[in-house]
Amino acid sequence: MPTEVIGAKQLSKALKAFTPDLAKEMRKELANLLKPIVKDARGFIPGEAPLSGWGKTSENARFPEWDSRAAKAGIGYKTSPSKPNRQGFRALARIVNVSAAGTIYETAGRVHPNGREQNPIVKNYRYGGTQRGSDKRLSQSSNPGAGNMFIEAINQYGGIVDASNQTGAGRRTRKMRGRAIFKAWKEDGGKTNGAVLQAIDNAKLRFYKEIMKGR
Amino acid sequence: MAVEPNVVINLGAEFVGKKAFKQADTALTKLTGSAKKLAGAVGVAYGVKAIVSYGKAAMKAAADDQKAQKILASNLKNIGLAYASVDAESFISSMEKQTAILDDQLRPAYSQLATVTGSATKTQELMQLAFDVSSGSGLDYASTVDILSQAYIGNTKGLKQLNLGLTQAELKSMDFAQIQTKLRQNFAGAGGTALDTYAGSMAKLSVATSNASETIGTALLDAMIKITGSQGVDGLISKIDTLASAFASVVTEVGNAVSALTGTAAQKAFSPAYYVSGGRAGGKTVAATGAGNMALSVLSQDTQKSDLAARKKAENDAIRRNKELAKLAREQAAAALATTKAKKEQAALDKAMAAAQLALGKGTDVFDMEKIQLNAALIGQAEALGKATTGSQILAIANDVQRLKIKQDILALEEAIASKDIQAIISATAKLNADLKVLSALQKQDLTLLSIKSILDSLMPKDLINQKNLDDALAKIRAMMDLLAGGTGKTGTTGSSGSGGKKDFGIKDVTPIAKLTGKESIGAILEVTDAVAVLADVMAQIQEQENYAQYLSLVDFQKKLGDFGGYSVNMNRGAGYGSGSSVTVEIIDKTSGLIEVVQNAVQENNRFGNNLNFAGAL
Repeated sequence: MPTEVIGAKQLSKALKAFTPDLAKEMRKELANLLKPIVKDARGFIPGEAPLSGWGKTSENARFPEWDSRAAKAGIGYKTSPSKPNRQGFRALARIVNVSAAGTIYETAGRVHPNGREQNPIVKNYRYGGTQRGSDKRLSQSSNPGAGNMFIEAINQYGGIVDASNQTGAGRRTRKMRGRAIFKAWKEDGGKTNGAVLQAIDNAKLRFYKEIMKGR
Repeated sequence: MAVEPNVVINLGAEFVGKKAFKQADTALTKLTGSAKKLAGAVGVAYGVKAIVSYGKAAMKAAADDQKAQKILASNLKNIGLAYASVDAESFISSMEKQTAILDDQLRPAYSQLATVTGSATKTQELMQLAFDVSSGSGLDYASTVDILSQAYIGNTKGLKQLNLGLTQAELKSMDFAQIQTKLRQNFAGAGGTALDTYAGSMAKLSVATSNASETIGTALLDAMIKITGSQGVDGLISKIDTLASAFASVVTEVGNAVSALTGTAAQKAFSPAYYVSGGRAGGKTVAATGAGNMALSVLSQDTQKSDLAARKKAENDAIRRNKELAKLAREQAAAALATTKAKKEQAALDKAMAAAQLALGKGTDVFDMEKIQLNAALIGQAEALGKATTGSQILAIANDVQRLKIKQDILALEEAIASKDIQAIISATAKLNADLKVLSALQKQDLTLLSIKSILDSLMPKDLINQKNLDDALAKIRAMMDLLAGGTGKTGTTGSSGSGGKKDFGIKDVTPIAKLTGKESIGAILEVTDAVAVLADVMAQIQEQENYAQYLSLVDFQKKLGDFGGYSVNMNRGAGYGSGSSVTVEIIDKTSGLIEVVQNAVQENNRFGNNLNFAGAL
């Protein structure tokens, strides 16, 4: 059961309103706690394209071009509370991987470890003849083993790590699996999560003390 | 707008509640606020504000109700049922209480049915039936009444919505009495059952509330819930029947409102005994104004008599109209039945006709002599094809077969045109064109073969190298040489050698010229020479005539050659080769070359043998 914090948003607002210095300190403390994980996660991003062709520039390619620097820069953290999700929970801090290529490297093979099934050849009703189906859930490649080859090539740099058994906010789902930030999170072993919660609690206590002092 | 990343690890979660919870919370807060405001209004401002609102709502409701009553009365009067106005109001009031259907719906329904049936009794009967039907079918009451009123005059289309389990044809064949019976069977007790349910109870409450609203207003009713301490609407239901006493207690509690409400029309309306016998309301005796218990004064006795007479008349009229409608329905049903029967018969006839046409078509095929002949011819050609040995025979048979096929195609096309079957016409035309193309190809092939034959024949040099001709020519030369030599030849004979034989040129009994001995006189020699010269002239003339005839034949041949595409007289004058045709030229010139041979022989003889003799000229 993930640990829940109550009133963090209000605490944040109160800190900003009454003790701005304390608010800054809390954000800084949270950042210091999250940075090591980000650093580790960035270290899991390869310095070169996992596949030789991935790093080549193509004007017509829709697939995001690999850029190690961008992929590493895409990994970061946020200390501002998120919007509530549909279940009514908001995250107080987050580690994110936002670059397109970095996200692909992080998650490729998470759902289909052996690559997606190939789209079948279907009839082209508009122009006649046949074409490959356009189901987005299936592979568009003419090579039936394209997905598997791609994943195998990436796995040479690092396999998918399951971090769903680690502590953290939200549900423990298959989405807690990846090659960079989740691997770092797994290796952290939940220490950072506890430290973040502790930091917030400490800030709360300090806020109360400051308020009490003010009175 | 920033998009939340999908690849994210969340730390430290805070439950802030779902949106729906928040909405509910907001609504609850507002409700609480409203309740407080209401309590405040009741506690503080009710004395003035609520009384004013009540007065307005009550007056409006009363005015609307009165207006509806007058409209109904007017409608009934227009259709000759004026006597039934009071009875109608009583019935509507009673039905409203029993069925939980507002009088706002019952009055138009009553008016509609009364217009159609012309009978108050029938109208009330149908209104009760409509209640059961609407409860059972799920349709609203107004729609059900509309369907029934239409069905009464023979329009049964709407009855389909009621799912009676009957086809449209069956419904049309039924009169309204039968339909009514069927409806009673299908929906018996549905209304009562519906009223026993929670929804029915709510409907009753709604009617009671609505009636209350007509007099005291919805706002006051809400206030009464609060003030009387009722546990919501359910608690108030039990108090609706005794609303007058509840109202009295409310009035007592709100103080000044009591005096304002005592003796009003609204209070009268809420009296349970209002429609029964006048009764009491608010401790004050109310005059008997209800429809159920009128005093029998002289005036009222007269009125009742006239009403009775009107009722009888109206009922009789309604019965008569009903009979007419029933008769009309029967006639329509009979007509529909007859139409259906006629359609069935027509369909059967069409089917039989189609079968007959098919059989006739087959029969026509069987006895169509033209087709028979064509088929026989085709079979004959097929047999001939089996016996054919040469290519030309096969070609000729193929031509014949193709022509027969084209004949068949033409017949098929004619039949298709006669039947006006466009598809058949198109296909027959296509087949005919295809067969015509085949025939054209075959004929061209035939023409080509014939042309080749003609050319080959013309190329054969049989006239020049014919052995017989050559032999004949040599024999002639020999005879001439003999003649000229005057020795061995047999003058005047007609001996033959080969098919041609020797020609005597018409000279008979001429003594052959012996060898000159030197003793002959000059005159004799000259005489012989003259004779030979005459002979040569005669021969020359004969030969010239023969050659002219041959020349004519040759010209004719050349003309034909020109037509055929070969040599022509004018070909060297810019005409070129002829256009060609299928004419076959077979001319055998058996004397061709004779002239040259004879001339050469004469010249040779003249040059080397006997240069003294004149050999003549050609």
